[in-house]
Amino acid sequence: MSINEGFIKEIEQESKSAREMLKRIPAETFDWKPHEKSMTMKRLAVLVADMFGWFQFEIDADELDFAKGYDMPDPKTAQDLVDFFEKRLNDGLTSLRGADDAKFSERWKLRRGENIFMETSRLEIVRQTINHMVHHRGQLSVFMRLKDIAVPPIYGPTADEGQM
Amino acid sequence: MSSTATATNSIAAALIAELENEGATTRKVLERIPPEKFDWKPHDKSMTMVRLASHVAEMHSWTVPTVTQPELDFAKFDYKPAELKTTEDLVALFEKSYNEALDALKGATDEIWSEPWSLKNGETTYFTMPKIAVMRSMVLNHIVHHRGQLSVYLRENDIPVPALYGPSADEGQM
Repeated sequence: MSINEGFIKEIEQESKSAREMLKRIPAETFDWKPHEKSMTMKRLAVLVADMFGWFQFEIDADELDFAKGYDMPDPKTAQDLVDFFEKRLNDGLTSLRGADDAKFSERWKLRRGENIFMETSRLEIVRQTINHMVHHRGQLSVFMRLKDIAVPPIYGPTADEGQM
Repeated sequence: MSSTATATNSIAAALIAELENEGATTRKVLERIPPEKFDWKPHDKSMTMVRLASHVAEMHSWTVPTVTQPELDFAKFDYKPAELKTTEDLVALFEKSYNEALDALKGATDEIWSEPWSLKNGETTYFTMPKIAVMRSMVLNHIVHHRGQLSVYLRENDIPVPALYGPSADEGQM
C-alpha cells in the first residue's frame, strides 16, 4: 500500500464519527463553553470540521504562514457545520490522492512571518494533523455530553449509544 | 528512550517514534491530576477522572495483544481495574503500560502488520482488520481521543492544560 492510500483509509474511517457528531450540534449551543478559558462549542466544532482540509496546504504548499491570515467560516446551523466538514474533507483527500510516496519525505514549515514554529517532513505533519483532529474531536465529545447531546460511538460504545 | 530500528521493522520504528512523542505529552497530562479529583466527573453519564485517566494509561498496553496475538477475546479477558490512590500510582500505571507497548513494538517485523486481527466476545466478532489498522485506530488514535477528553476534565478543574499539539489557553503561547 502506498503512503497516501494508508492515510486516506484512516481519514475516511475517522471521518464517520466526526460527521455523526457535527450533525448533532444544535445552533443554540454554539456560543456555549464549559469554562471561561475554553473554546466555544462553535469554535471547537469548526476546528474539527476544518482540520482534514489542512492536508491541502500540507501537500500542495511548502508551508503555512499565519501572517498571511486564515479564514474560518461562521456556521449558523449544524447543517452548515456538516457542509463545511464535507468540503474540507474533500479538499484534503483530493490533495492526498495526488501525493506519491516521495512527496511525504519532503520538508514542510509552519511559520508566522520570520518566526518558524515547526519544520518537519510531510509524513510527520500529516500524521500529526490526524492525531490533532482526533484530540479535538475527543474534546468535542465532552462538550456534547455536557449539553446532553447524545454522543455517537467513536472507537466503541458510549454511555448513550452502541452498547456491545 | 530511543528506538532500535532495523531494516526489517521500519513500520515499528515509525510507531515507536510516534508513541514516544505522544507519550511525553500524555505523561504531562497524567502527572497533573491530583488524587482529590479522582472521583470527579463532569456529567452523570461520564467516566470519573481516575477511570478516564487509567483508561488512557492502560490503553498503551493493548499494543501487546495487537502485536503478539491474532485476536483479543473479552470472554477470556480477566480485567482487573488498577487500585489507584495517588498521582504516582497513576503515572506508574502509565509507565508500565507504555514500556510494555514499546517492548512489543521493538519485536514487531514489518510483515506482521498486514496480518488479520479480531476483537471478539466469545462467539461474537466485533471486527477483523489488519494489525496496522488496529494499532492505528484501536490503540494510538483511541489514546489521543481519550486524552483529548481528559484535557477538558483538567480545564473544568482549573488544572493548567499543557501544550498538546500547539499552545493551550494556559501554556505554550507562540
